Amino acid sequence: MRLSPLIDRLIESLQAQPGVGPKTATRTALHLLQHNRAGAQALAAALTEAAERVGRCRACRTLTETEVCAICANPRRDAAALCVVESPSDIVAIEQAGGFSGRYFVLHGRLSPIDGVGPEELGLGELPTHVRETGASEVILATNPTVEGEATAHYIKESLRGTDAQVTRIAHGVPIGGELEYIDGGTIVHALQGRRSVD
Amino acid sequence: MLPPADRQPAYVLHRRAFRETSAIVELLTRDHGRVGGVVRGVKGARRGVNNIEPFGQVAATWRGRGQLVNLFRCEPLAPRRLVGDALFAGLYLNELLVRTLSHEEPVPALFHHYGEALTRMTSHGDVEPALRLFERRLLEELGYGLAFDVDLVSGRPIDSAQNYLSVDGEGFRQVQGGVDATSAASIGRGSAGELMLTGADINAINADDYQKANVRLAAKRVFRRALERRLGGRPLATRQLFQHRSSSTSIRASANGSIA
Ligand SMILES: [Zn+2]
Repeated sequence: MRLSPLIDRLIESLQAQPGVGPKTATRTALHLLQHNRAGAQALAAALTEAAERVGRCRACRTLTETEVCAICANPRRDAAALCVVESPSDIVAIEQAGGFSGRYFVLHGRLSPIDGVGPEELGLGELPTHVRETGASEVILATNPTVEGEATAHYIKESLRGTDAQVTRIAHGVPIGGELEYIDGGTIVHALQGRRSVD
Repeated sequence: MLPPADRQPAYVLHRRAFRETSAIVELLTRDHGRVGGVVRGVKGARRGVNNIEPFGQVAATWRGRGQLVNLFRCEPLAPRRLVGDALFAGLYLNELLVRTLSHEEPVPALFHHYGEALTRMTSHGDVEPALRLFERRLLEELGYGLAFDVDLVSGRPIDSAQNYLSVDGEGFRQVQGGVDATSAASIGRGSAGELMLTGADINAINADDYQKANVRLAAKRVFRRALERRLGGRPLATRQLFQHRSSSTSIRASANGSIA
């Protein structure tokens, strides 16, 4: 139903966000206006400032308002290991899991020729130079195990032939705690092709 | 009005995320040609994003017709995983199909040829012959097949010892006099920009025999030229993948250049 032009606009804007359906959008909008005007002001200010000031890290291309992001600026992060990911949210996932102390390179997408996303759109031309300049000895390709993610990984592997870096691909397959009979065929094919000898 | 398609066998040519959990897919179906449709709820760990992926076979159920049908069900049947050169080659085939086929124009033989091409590319390290074979079948299915067996002017069989010029959309005609058969390279050009080929290369292409490098090069040019007429000037984006790759791989580039 229609409330008022301003409220409708707010609901529509909220609804355009991932994970927000019409009900949640309406509830959030009404809550902010009814009970939390200060929160609404703070949200608006944060959104405006972030949208204006957040850009990309000069080194790894992740989202940040500083010239170089916190990870790239951290001298304790290992420059020898460079992990290539599709999006900043992949960095969040890897960082939350812990265990990786190297640096990142964000593509902001994946190769999708039919949709007009080629190597240039992903900044892949800069990657070999970046690898040489940072002196990375290992480049870990952590693009998703989709056809486009695999194509991106293959392309990067080929383009890094002229560098000294060893190129590796993250393993894909049966999830820990998973049972084969419940796993889809694609994952099983992938897991079988990526098998390795038992330690 | 077409009857609803029920569990129609199809290959996935492309999948693009659409809204939160849905996808827009392009399919090559067995009986209805290319079909584009919306599939709901394909994202999320439990449903498995890998289930509807390019090259995989699905059983598709939809109603209606047009640019974008509503795919009620799109059940994955057999996934197929291509790696390395075969992966790029597969993406090239998919783009070729999306660019040259209109929606719901039946091309029954192509469904079969596409499956064969994928199988060839998965089982052989050498993907180039599979690409040329498929391009030839695609042109034939589209009604743009070339005559590789006879001289268009004389009607006589192609002579291995002679040179020929390409005739766009039709085939080849023998070069009349003045050209030294031994010096005319298989990749030469005629005065009007036509391709010049040796009869031997044309005969090899006709026999789908791609053992020789010069036959591969000649066939690549012949089919590319023929396909360009269907693609309307806009180049195929997947060719970029091969070009960039071969420029960074000097050994392969000098051996045979890009494969598509
Ligand atoms: Zn950074």
